Amino acid sequence: MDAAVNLTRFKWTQAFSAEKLIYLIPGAIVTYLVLPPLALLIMSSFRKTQDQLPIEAVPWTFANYLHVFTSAESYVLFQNSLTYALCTVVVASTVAVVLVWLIERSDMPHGDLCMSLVLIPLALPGLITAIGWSFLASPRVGVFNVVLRSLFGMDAAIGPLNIYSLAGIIFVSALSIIPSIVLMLSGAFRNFDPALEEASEASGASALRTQRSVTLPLLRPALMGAFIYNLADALDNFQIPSVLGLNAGIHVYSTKIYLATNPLSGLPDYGLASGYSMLLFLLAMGLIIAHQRTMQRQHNFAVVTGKGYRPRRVALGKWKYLAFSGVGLYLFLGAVCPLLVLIWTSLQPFFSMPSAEALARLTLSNYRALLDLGQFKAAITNTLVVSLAVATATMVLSSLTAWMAVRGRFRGSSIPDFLTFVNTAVPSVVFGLAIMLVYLSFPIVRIYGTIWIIIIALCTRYLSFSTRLMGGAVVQIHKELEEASEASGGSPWVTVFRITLPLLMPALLSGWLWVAVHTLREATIAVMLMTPANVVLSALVWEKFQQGGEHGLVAAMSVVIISISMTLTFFGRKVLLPRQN
Amino acid sequence: MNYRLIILVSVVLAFICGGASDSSSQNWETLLQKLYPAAKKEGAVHFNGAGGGGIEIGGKDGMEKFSKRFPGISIVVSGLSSSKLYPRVIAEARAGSLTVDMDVEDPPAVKPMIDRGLIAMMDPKELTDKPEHFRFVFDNKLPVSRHQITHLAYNTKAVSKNDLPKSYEDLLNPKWKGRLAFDGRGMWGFTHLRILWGEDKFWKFINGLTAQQPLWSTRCNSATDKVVTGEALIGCVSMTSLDELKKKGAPVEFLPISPVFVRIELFVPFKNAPHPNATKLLIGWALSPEGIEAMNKAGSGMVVPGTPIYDVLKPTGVELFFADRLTPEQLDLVQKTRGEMAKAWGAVK
Repeated sequence: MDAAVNLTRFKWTQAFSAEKLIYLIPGAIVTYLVLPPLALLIMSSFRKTQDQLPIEAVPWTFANYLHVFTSAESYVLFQNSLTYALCTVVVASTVAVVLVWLIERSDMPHGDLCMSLVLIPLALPGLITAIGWSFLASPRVGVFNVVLRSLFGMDAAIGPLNIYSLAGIIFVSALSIIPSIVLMLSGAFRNFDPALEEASEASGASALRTQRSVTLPLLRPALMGAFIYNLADALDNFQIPSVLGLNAGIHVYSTKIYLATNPLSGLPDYGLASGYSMLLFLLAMGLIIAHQRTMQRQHNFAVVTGKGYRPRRVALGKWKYLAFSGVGLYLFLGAVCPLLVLIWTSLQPFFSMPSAEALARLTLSNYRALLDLGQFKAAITNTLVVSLAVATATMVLSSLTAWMAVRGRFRGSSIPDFLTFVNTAVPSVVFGLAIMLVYLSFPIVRIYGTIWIIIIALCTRYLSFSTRLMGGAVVQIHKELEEASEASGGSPWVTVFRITLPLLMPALLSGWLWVAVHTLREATIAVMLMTPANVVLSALVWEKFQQGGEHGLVAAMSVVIISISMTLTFFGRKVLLPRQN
Repeated sequence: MNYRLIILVSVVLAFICGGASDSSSQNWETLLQKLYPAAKKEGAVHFNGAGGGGIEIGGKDGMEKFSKRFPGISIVVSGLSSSKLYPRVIAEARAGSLTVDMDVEDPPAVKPMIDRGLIAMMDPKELTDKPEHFRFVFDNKLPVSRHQITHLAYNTKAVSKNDLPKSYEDLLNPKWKGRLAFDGRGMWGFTHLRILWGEDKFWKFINGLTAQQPLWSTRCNSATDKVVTGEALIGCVSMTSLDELKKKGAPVEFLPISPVFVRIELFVPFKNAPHPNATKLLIGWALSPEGIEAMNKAGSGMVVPGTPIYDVLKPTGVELFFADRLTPEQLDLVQKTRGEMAKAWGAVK
C-alpha cells in the first residue's frame, strides 16, 4: 500500500516537476495569448459580415475566399505584395549584414557610435518616416527633386524621383527595417568564435573567402531567422504603403485589409478583411515551415562552446574610412534626412518646403500647441508605462518559450514557439481588431479600454521576434556547458543564473531594447484599441495625421517620440549593450 | 391723444419685455443647473469630434468656458472619423463597455446607427429653453450642432484670379489635369451634385473628374496639405482650416464657385454611454448662447446671417445649398454616392 502511494506520489511529482511547470506555465500563457484571436480570425473569414460583426448571427459563407482568390484585383494585390515584401527584405538584409559585420567584426573606427547611430531609424515610426520621405521626394515639390532639377537644369515639372511608386515604398521600407535586422544579427555576430575563421585562414583561405564560406554559413540560422521574420513583417507593413501607396493606387494586402475595415462610407467588411488575412496567414505558414527546418539543424551551428575565446576583428586597412563613409550614407538617408525634415516641419506654422521665406516663419507654436492638447500628457505617461511593461514581459516569456523549444525534452515543447511565429502571419490591423473583439466578447477579463489591453496585444505581437531572437541565441549555446555545470554539482538554478543567463544576456538586452523601441513607434494596434483612457503617443500621431492639415503638430509629436526613443536607444546601447573589445 | 397714457403703456411694455428677456436668459442657465448635479457625479464626458481639438464645442476656449461654468466635469477629446469610431461603438455596445459618450456627425452617417438602436434620442426641452430656435432631426430628437463647409480652395501663388474656374464643369479643363486634390471629407460636397444635376450629368462630370487624375486620399484633410504646398493647384479645404491657414500666412484662398454645399452635423449621444448626464449637460450648454458664441468664435457654428463664416461667404456671391433640406431618401442616396465615388476614385493613380 505504502509502495503504491509512493509510486503515485512519484508519478505526480514527475508530472508536475519544477522543470515541467517552468515549461508549461509560459506555454499556457502563450497559448492563451495567441489562440483566441486566431480562432476569431478564422471564424470571421467564413462569415458574411456585410454591415455586421462576425460575432453576430450572420450566415456562414465561402464568398470571402472566392473574392480573395478569384477577383480581378487579387492578382495585382498578390504581385504587389510579394514584390514589395521580397525586395524590401533583400535590400534591407544585404545592407544590414554589411553594417553588422563592419560594426561587430571589423576594426572600423567609432563602432560604438556607429551602432548607436544605425539604430536611430528604429526610433522613427514607419508612418513618420514615410511622411518625411514624401516631403523629400514628392515628384513635384519634394526637396530632393527641386534641388536635382535645379542642379541639372531639368525642364520637367516633376521628378526625377517619385516616392509614390513601388520602388519608393520599397526604398523607404528597407531603410525602416534595417535597424531591426541589425539588432537581430548583432548578438550572433558578436558571439562568433573566431577560432573557425583562424583555422580557415591558416589553411590558406583569404579573409573574404573565410567570411563567405565559414562565417556566413555558420550564421545561417540567425540570418534565416531575421530574413523570414522580416519578410512576414514586410507583408504585414501597413503604415509606409498606406502613406506612399494609396495616393498612387498601389495596393498591397495590408492596405486592402485596412480599407476593408475602415471604409470611407458604410460599415467594415470584417469577413473580407479576415479572408485577406487568412491568405497572408497561409503565406507566412510557408515561411514558418522553412524556418523550422533550418532550426532543426541547430546543433551544426553551435559556435559558443566550452572553450574560451576572444572575438577577433578583421583589419580593414585603407578601406576602413570608405566603410565608415558607407555607414554615413546609410545614416544620411535613413535618419538624417527624415529627421531634419520632421524638425523643419515642426517649426513651421503650416506645411511648406524649405525656402528663405519659410525660414523667416520659424516658430515654436506647434510645441506650444502640444501642451494645450488635452491627451498629450496622458499619452506620454501611457507610452512609457506600456513600453517598459511590454518589453519586460515579452522578453521573459519569449526566453522561456525559446528555451522550451530548443531544450525541451517532451512532446509538444515546441508548440508555444510555433504559436508565436504563427501569430506573425496575422496582420497587425486585424490582430488589433481580433484582440478587441476577444476582450469585448469575454468581459470577465475587464481590461478593455485600459492600457492593459494594449500591453497584452503588443506582448503577443512581439513574442514572435523575441522568441526568434532568443531561439537563435539559445541555439548557439552548446549543451556541454550545462552538462559541465551539472557534472560539477551545480543545481539547475545555478546553471541558469551563473552560466546560461550571462551568455544569453546580450540577446536578452538587445531584444528588450528592440521591443521597447518598437512599442514606442507601433501605431496600428494602438489605434485599433485606442479609447480616450488608453491613448499612447503613436496613436495620437496617427489620429492627428488622419485628421490631416496638422503636419506641424504631427511633426512636433514625432520629434518628441524620436527624442524619447533615441534616449532609450542610446542609454540601452551604452549601458545595456557595451561593445566587447 | 393722452400722451401720458402712451408713455405709461410704453414703460410698462418695456419693463415686461426687459423682464422677459432677463428671465429667458436665466432659463437656460436654470435648465442646465438642473442637469449639473447628476453630471458632476459622473465627472467627465468623452467627446469625439473628427474636426480635432473639440472645435465642434468651441475648441480650447469653449471647453474652458464649460469647465468654468460646470466645475468638476472634464471633457476628454478624441478625434476619430465615424468610419473608425462607429464600428467600435457597435462592438462596445454589444459588450456593454462603451468608452465614448458622444460624437458629432452628419445625418447620412448617423442613420445606420439610429437604425441599430445605438443613439440616445433626446427631449429638446431638457436641453434648451428655446427649442423652437433650433433644428432637431430624426423625429425631432437629435439637435443640429453646426453647419460644416468643405469647399474648394486654390493656391494663390500658383494660380491667378483670371485663371480660376467659374463652375464645377470648368474643373474638367485639361489645364487642371493632375493638379486637383480631393480627400475623404472634401468629396462630400460632390455627392450632392447627384441630387441637383441628376444621374447622367452627375456621372458624366465624375467620370470627367476621374480622368483628370486628381490626387486622392482617404485622409480627411490631405487635400488641404497639397494645396498649401502647391502640389495641387486646387483642392478641397474646410472653411475652418482655410481661416486658420490664412491667419498663418498660407497662400490659399476660397474658390467662389456655386453651389457651396453646407452640411449639417448633429450632436450624437450614444445609448448606454458611461456618462449620460454629463453628455446631456454638454449638449445643452452647446445650444446655449454661451456655447453658440464659443462655437462661432472657434470657426464652427451655423452659417446664418450675423455669424463670422456667413460674413466670409456672403461677399463672394456664392449660392449656398443647405443639406438640411434633404429628404431621408436623398440622405440615403448621398451616403450611397459616397461609397460609389470612393470605389471609383480608389482606382485613380
